[in-house]
Amino acid sequence: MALLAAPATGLVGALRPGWAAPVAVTASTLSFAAMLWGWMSGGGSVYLSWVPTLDLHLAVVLDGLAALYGMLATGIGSLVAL
Amino acid sequence: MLFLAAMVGLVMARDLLLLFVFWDLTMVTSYFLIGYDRQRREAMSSALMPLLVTGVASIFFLVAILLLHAVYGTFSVSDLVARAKSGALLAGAGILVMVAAMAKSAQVPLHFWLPRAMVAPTPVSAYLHSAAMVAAGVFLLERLYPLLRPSGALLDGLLAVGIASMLIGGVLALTQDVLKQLLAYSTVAQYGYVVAMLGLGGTAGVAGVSLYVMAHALAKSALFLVAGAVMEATGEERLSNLGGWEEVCRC
Repeated sequence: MALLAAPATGLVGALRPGWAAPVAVTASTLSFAAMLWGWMSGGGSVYLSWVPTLDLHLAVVLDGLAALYGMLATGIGSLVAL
Repeated sequence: MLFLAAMVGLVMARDLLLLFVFWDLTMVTSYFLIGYDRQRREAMSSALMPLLVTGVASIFFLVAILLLHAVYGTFSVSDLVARAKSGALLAGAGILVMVAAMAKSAQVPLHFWLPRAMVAPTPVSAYLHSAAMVAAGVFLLERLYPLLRPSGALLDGLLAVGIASMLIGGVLALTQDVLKQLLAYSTVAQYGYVVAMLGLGGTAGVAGVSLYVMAHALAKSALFLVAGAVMEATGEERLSNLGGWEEVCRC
């Protein structure tokens, strides 16, 4: 959600500048909700091999620490954007 | 929004290289946010300072990542925690990580960039100080804490840096007259408590860090937003010129 929020806001801002702020608030609030829901349902992980020969992987995990800092970033982010 | 996305990516990354990519993305986006008012020469020069300090520090982080990979053959945080053995190399990598985190969290003696970043618009300052840039340094220390914990000297170093930041940040905050500068030095001091708690270690210490970061984020974001509202309403940014609020509120 958060990764999609940035290009979505940028795209809307380029097409209709007046809509950028509401989209930013909505996207960051949805990111917060997604983070909260993910944490309450026990977290999760995504693991994709990017360049296996160089031992490069896209590994993301939603654990307690990630949820705490992620919810701070998205929650306060939406308040600040508001 | 890109800053927010970078922070979320940073906290969720479990691969050190991926973590480094998001770490640098927060640095670059903070440069554009701090230097938002491009018409002001001061804004651009002030934005350059955090970019330089955290940029140089991120090279330390990259060296630590490559060092750990060369020895343990993995970028995965979980695998590193399982494979890492206490010793000089782990302590050396720990020092590099610690320097990178100290620079990001504006800890003494690398705290000087934070007050300069106050040229940013107030909502940006609120975000930088509470949930993003500054919190990223402490987050890195927490994420890699199992790698730092075996070295008692590193923990002592964290404790010393934390106490120094508490004292210096606190004293400097008391001497400030500009509202946002006061809050900036207060952030240095408050994160000093967090770093000192990490230095103390133990389950209670690490749990205390999370609680303190959360409490500080909520309080500091509210303080910055109120400071911005007061500055906008009065046109004043110096505390010495902001007296007589009781009279104003009665009217």
